[in-house]
Formats: sequence, structure tokens, C-alpha cells
Amino acid sequence: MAAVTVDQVRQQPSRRGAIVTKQVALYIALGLFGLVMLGPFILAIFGAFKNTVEVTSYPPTLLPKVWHPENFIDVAKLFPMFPRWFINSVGLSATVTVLNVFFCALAGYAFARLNFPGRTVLFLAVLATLMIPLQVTLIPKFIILKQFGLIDTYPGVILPNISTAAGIFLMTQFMKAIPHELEEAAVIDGASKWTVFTRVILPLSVPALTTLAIFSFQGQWNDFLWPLVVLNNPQLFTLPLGIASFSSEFVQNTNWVLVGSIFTTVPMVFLVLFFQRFIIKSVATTGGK
Amino acid sequence: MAIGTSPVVETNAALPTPVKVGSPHKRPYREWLTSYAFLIPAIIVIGGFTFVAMGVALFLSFFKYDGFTLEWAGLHNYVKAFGNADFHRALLNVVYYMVVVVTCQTILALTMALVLDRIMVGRGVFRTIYYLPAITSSVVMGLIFSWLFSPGGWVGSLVGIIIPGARQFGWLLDPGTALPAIMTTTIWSTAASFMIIFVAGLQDIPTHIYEAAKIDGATGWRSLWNITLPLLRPTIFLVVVLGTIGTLQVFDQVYVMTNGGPLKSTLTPVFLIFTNGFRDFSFGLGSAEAFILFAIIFTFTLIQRRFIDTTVEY
Repeated sequence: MAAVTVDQVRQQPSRRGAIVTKQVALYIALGLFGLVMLGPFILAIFGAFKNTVEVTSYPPTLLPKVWHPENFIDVAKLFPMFPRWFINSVGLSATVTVLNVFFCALAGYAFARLNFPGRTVLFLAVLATLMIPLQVTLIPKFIILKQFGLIDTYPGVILPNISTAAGIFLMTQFMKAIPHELEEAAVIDGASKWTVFTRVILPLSVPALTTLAIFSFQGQWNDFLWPLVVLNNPQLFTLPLGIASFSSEFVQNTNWVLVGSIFTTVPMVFLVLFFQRFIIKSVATTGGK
Repeated sequence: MAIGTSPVVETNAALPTPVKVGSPHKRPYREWLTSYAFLIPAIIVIGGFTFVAMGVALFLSFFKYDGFTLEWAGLHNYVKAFGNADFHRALLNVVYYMVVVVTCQTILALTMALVLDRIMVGRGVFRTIYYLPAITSSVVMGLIFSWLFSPGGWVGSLVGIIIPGARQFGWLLDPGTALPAIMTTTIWSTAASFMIIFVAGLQDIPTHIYEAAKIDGATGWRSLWNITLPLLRPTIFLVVVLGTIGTLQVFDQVYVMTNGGPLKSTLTPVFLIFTNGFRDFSFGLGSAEAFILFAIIFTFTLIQRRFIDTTVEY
């Protein structure tokens, strides 16, 4: 190889300069985009600390003239329903998450590792439901649940969500890849399929189980249309349902509405910060949601 | 459990063919029963709330049903839906919404992914920041943006710097700007999750292709246009399809921000299905509308598959 030419050596500092300029430009673009993404949150947080007049005054102020942290207590005090909605949201999301993950794992195990007649047909049937949009089944689901007297109850909200096609697909794909040797050893020891499932397969599937759990929790926490259809009693409302009804009732009290919005969002923010890596990875592989 | 320490394992390991897990020769019916038992919850939930529900919806779409009396209606519901000015309006609105939102969010997500792919440090931090809107409830998003778009709100004030008349403008109160305001809200909240899909797609492109192109003299824009974008086609397809399906079903933002108004300018099919079903109790008409929307979503997905060739050869 020929040595580096004089020309190339001379070019290097300017090239490095070009790279630095380019990187700076990229960071500025990313920073501006980040500001746009975070802006509404920042404004909403400051807004939640303003009084009723200032929050909707013109011109809008960035920081509150007087901070009103008592807004956060007032909302819970004046609307005793608010803590209740929070508890409902936590309870419903946790229940749906546990049941959905468990049932999807069971079905995934059967599809991935057991032989039985009709396996392919059933699996294809499950996959086919991925194509059916929610609103086609909205009215019939309501009518079916009404026949069982489950409208305006928690089970009515929970039942349709405790086995999802996407979840079963995720579990099946993951469990297919677990080496058979591990399972064989247990079977030879005389373990039943149930034992194999709980002692061998589930512990090895933790990454997939976590991913599904995060998506289930997030999906249920933010779900609006289905709880809106099923629930009438404000006592049973979830947070999104609660703040939506609250906001139409108290149009003047934007600051309280913003407080409610913060209460609804913060748990999801913690969820994301704790499970960041899982979420990013699985959004990338499954297409998210 | 002590795996592999039992003497039985050794005996079996000596056999020419190891015992296959779930061997069909050894009492297969037991495995069948176990399998079906494991599948029972999924079969009940998915079977009941999707397959049976689809059947019920199809059945209802040929009837007049208000929750109490069932009356044969033939094709009346479909005829009514197709002839209904509100349904036309809702379809036009949602197609307009879909085209703008899918185009903008795809371009925005791709641009940001390309930028993010080129920086040296801090990728994770930006990714987390961008991801926050995607995990926020659509109701919360709708409420915050309703406030930002209100007369004298932040959007009006910022636009007012350039166009003074915009300061006290009610974006959600004007039939011309209400739907674009909802579009903005949606793009803001979904662009980031699609960006993450693009980032993953970019990382899947083998680096040796770029190196080969560099030797051939292709850098910068040419490398982007001739290498990155063509190889990213499957990801673009995925993002466009997910965006299309999602936007055609828009409901939450409309419910929270405008309730279908002003002058039906933000009426969408799902909002109409909801109103017909659960406010007017015309379950038959709602079901017919749902099937028409289903057919439209299906058609759009097929058309996109034809236009965006997803096969890629490295």
C-alpha cells in the first residue's frame, strides 16, 4: 500500500471540522424535536400549578405567577371519585395483565411444543383475528356481555382482553426457540406437561412474558373506547374515562383537568423508565401497541 | 428440579433415538387433552369475543335491533349507511385524516430515525424522550391539546407571532381547522413509536453494503436514496400499514376534543358507529357501518401491499 499522500493529510483537519459541524447540526435537530415532543408535557405540568384564571389567561404564561401545589390535593378532596378512579385503573390493568400473560403463555406453550389435532387450524384462526379491527366487534361484544349481565361490571371490561392474538403469537414464537433438551430431561424425570410448563418453560420465557406484561398493562391503562362502552357507573370508571367525564363537567377548571392528566400519565412514565430496554426492543420487533 | 442427574436419563441417553418430547406413540390422547385444556381460556375469549362476535355482527347488520326488539331488515342497514350523508362525511373525513397523518408521521419518523442513526452518543436518551408521547393515554393527549388549541392558548399565541389574527382563534371551533388540529395531536403522539421501528430497520441493513457503495463513490444523499431507502422498504410498508389501520379507526381524540363537531367536520366512522350503537341504540345500522369500514381497511391494506414492494434482496 502506498503511503498517505500529502494531499490527504492536509484534508484531514477540515474533514474533521466538517464532521463536528455535521454532528452539532444533528444534535440541534434532535434537541428541537425533543422540545416539540416534551413541550406539551412541560406546559401541562406548569399549567397544573396555576390557578383557574391564569391557566386560560391570554397571553399564556410559562411559569405560574403564584404556585398552587394545593391543586393536587384539591382535586382528590373535591372529587373523592378521583382516588377511586386511580385504584380502578391500577386494579383493572393489573388483573388484565396477569390473566392475559398467563393465558397467552398457556396457549403459546400448547401451540409451540405440544402435538394435537387441529393445531395448525387453531393457530391460523388466532392469527386471522389480528386483521379484525376493534370496532367491528364493538356492538356484538356489548350485546354478548349484556346477555350475561356483565355490562357495567369489572368482568365486562376485563373478559374480552384476557387472551390476545398478538400475545399468543409472541409467546408461541418465543417458546418455539427454547431448546427441546431442557424439556426432555424433565419429561424423563416423570414431570407432567403442567410441571414442564411452570418449572421449565415459564422461567425461560421471562423476557417474552415481561414484554407482554408491559404492553398489556399499558394497553389496559390507556384504553378508552371499551370501558366507555361497558361502564356507566362513575364509581367503576378508569382514569381516562374519569378525566374525560370530569373535563366535560368542569370546563372552566383546566388546571384540575391538567392535574388529572398528570396523575394518569406519571405511572406510565415510571413503567417506561423501568422497562425501557424491553419496550424499545419489543416495539422494534413487534411493531408495538 | 435437578435436571439431568437422574439415572433414567443416562439409560435413555444410550438409546439410538432419544425419546421425543410429546411422542405420538405414547398415549397421544393424553397430550391432546392437555393441549386443549391449555387452550381453553384462549378459545373461549378469542372464539367468543371475536369469532362469535363477528357472526353476531353480521347477523345484526341484516336486522333492526334496539336491544329489545329484533326485526328483519334485509339490506336496509347497508342501503341506509351508503345513503347516509353523515356516513359519507365520516368516510371523507377519515380518508383525509389518514392521508395527512400517515404521510406526515412516516416522513417525520423516518427523518428522525435517520438523524438518530447518525449521532455518536446519547441515542438512548433521545429515544426515551421521544417515546413519552407514545405511552400517554389518548384521552390525556386530547385534553392537553384541547387546552393548547383553545382561543388565546399556546398554539394561537405562537402562530400569532407571525399571523396576529391567530391569537384568539379557536382551532377546534372552526370546521376548517378542527380536523387538522386533531391530526397534529395524533402525529405528535405516534411519530415516535414509528421512529423506533425505523431505527431497528436501519440497524438491520448490513454495513458492508454502505462500504461497497462508498468504494463506488456513492455517499450522502446518493447512498440514502439508492441504498438506505430501497432496503428499508419492508419497514416503510409496516409503518404505512400500521398507520393506515390505526388512523382509519380514530375515535378517542375526536370524542375528547371535538365530539364530532363543529358542523360534523371531525365526524369519523368509529365515532358514528359508537353514536349509532350506544346513543341511538341502532345496533343493526352500527354493525352494517362497521362491516363497511372493515372492508375499506382491508382494501387499503391490499392496495398498499401492491404498491409498496416489500421483497428485498441483499
